[in-house]
Amino acid sequence: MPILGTVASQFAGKPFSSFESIATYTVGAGGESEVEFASIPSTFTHLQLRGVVRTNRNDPRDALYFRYNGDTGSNYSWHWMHANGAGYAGGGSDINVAPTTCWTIVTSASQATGGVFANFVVDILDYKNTNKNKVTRSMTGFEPNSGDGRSWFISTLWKDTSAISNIYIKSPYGGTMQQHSQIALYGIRG
Amino acid sequence: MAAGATYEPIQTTTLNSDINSVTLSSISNSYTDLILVGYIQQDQSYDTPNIRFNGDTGANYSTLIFSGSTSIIASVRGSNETFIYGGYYAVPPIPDNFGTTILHINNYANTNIKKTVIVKSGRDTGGIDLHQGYWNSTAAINSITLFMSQNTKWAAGSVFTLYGIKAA
Repeated sequence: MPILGTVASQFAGKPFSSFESIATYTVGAGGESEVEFASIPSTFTHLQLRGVVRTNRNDPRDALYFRYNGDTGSNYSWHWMHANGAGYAGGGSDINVAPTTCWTIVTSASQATGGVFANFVVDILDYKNTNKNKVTRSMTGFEPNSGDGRSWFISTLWKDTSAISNIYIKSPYGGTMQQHSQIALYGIRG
Repeated sequence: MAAGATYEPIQTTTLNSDINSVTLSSISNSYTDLILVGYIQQDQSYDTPNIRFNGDTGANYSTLIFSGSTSIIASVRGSNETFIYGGYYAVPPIPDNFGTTILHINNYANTNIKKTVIVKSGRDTGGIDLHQGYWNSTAAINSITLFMSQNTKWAAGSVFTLYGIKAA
């Protein structure tokens, strides 16, 4: 994966072979309450999810949680820090609390400025390494010019060493992802 | 299932002399996301890197600033401004001491949504940032201008590279 562009001009128009698109969900007019990436191949080293999301929750913002491989047990935790333009905070859910999902993406919702979709970049590192519990890193949030906006930095844990082959994504508040939302899954080779 | 390689360098600008602004133009809409990587330094110790799209100089931007340094955590909003903050502090002209700023512009060509940006930046003199930027427009982004609001300059040696990512 390229880090700095000092040599990029030599490669203009030539895609890096280490970064591949795996699958993409684009939400249609009817909305989508959940998204699932199944049968994720184990041919990469890392995964990355990118996209834009807005839900119909009756609030300025919503969230999307992740579950892996259909595990509905109490095997997740996450920590976060965020700013809203007037203050900042940090917190999380310790593994001892053992939630059954991990909140990974923050989205805009129906009370946010019209047309504003939250954005996100989520890295799932070493997703197929069966010697490690799985961790993620998220940059996510939105700025709506007025009203409630957030910038979040989130880290999650799935306390399981299985290779990740399935990612299930849903709002914990029951929000439906709105038309034009998009979640794209990429694979990165080591 | 995988659709093949999809992360492409589009264009790179390397500065041979100090210059007021840099514009990456003629961006095609054939990608899904853009990533702009700036390896930057300024010619003065004040001012901040700023961003505009499509030449729009109106008060159509806002930034939710989240910045940390050795002594301060900042959470500030700049609404109805004429640019997005690409960093919260200057990158002063200290030899061999450059900063980075990385923009993630997801769904930049989607004319159904207003444009939001993740700004991740840092420098040795002044800490790190994770901003959210907003452009009050649904237009597809076809140019990105990086400049300083107080008329300082990008220093020679700064490098700006634009990448495109295409989803399957």
